[in-house]
Amino acid sequence: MDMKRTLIVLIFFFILPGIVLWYTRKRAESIENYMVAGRSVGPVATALTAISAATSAGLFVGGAGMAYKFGWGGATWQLGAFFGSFFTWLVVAPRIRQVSRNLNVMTVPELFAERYGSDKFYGFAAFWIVVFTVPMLVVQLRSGALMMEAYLKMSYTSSLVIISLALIAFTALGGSVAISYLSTVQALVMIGGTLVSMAVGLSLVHGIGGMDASLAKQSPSLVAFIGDVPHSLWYNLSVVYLFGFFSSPHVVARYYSMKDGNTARWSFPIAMVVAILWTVVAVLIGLFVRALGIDLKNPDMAFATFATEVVPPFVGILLVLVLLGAIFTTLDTLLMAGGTSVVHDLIERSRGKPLDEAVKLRYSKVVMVILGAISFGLCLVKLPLITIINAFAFGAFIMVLGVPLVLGIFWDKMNREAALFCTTLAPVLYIVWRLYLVKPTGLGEIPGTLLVIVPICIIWSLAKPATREEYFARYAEKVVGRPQGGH
Amino acid sequence: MSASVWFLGISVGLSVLSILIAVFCGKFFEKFN
Repeated sequence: MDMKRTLIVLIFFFILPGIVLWYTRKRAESIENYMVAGRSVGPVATALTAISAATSAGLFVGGAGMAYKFGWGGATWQLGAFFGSFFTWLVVAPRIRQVSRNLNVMTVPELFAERYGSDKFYGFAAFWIVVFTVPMLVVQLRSGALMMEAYLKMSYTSSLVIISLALIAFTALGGSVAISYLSTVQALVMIGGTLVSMAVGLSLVHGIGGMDASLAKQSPSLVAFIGDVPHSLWYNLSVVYLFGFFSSPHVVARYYSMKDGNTARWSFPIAMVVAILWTVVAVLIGLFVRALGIDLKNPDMAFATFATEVVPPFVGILLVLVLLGAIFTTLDTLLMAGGTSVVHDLIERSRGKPLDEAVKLRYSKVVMVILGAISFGLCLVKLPLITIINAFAFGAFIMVLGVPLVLGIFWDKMNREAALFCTTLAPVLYIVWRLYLVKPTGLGEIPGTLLVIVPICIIWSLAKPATREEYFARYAEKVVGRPQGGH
Repeated sequence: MSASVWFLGISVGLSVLSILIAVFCGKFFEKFN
């Protein structure tokens, strides 16, 4: 490994997180600061932390790969994600912040327990969070190590040790406040890297017009709106990402940390512009490589090829930082979400009485280290089950957390039984759909399962509205400050 | 219109719309205070 690469690793994984830890050291001493950053994060940090948590290396590598393979058709389905992001930041995130602050809750399972008046949600929701968060951590850690192996020419094991050490030490010691600061800095690096890459790429293909002309010459389908992408796949992908931004616990936790309504107002355009920028650059990179006529056996190599063979070395290094940033900002928020759920929703509830603040803080740090160590260990052994569970994670979170969360905070009638159905049986239906029903119905597992569970929730709640129940009256009183409904 | 115009047009359009909403619809966000 040469000096330049050693320097990048040192700065990115140790010096930068070290400075952030030192700067935020005093603020990691209270549990509210540790878990939800004291509900005091401003608009820039909120938007950048949430968007970078939701953006993994998959967007850049997979997004570029799909655009390379199918042309614009491999990019246009991402418009679903743009509309999903728009809706989330406009109404869902501000409402989640408002409800979580008024209920004084720190996790999604706790919000469910308060909204639906049952402690069962702690166990069920936290169970799924842990079950799916660890495989997500393992897959992200693995892709980070592979990335360092490929770009920085380090061995897989030493890459894995470096990322894991930096991740565990940083998240356990710094908590949510430190994550917000580091994610903001890393996201700024990512914004710079993507802007420079876009400018360099556009000059190489002579602008969008030049690129389109070159693509159309190869095949007219490359410049069509859906093109050769199988239509069912295109529709499925567009629908899936409509829901992603309010279903994953590590992203939702970022809305809890917002300072006030004004933060929600200004984080909306920042999040939109940055999320769109990153996605547009990811797909453009795939299109650039295709337009330049570079032949690739594996479309997922488009990003790597662009970084190592197309652009000057300086831009290539920036793109490596973009990927490492995308991975690290997802990893630390995932570890935080998993650890918080274990301590706050499982350990504390199973004891039946609240933990002392200092003890809870200590437990949180220990749990983060244990979860991080488990994930590290799982990266060293090849367990196909981990990859399989990870593939289910995104959709499962939509069923288990996204549906009962959105219906619960926006629709007063949504009842406890329907929410319990979502957190217990919906993932089973989702898995069954994925395994057996995709082919016969032609519908992907996420839209298919949603078409079943959302009507069930609505019919059930209309038949037995929560507004007639005691638990809803207690919730409404806390949220809006006045009694509503109930007997 | 070609796919690139649609994709980039909607991208820019949504970004600008979000800025306009944040600037001019402050009252809307006050509901969430």
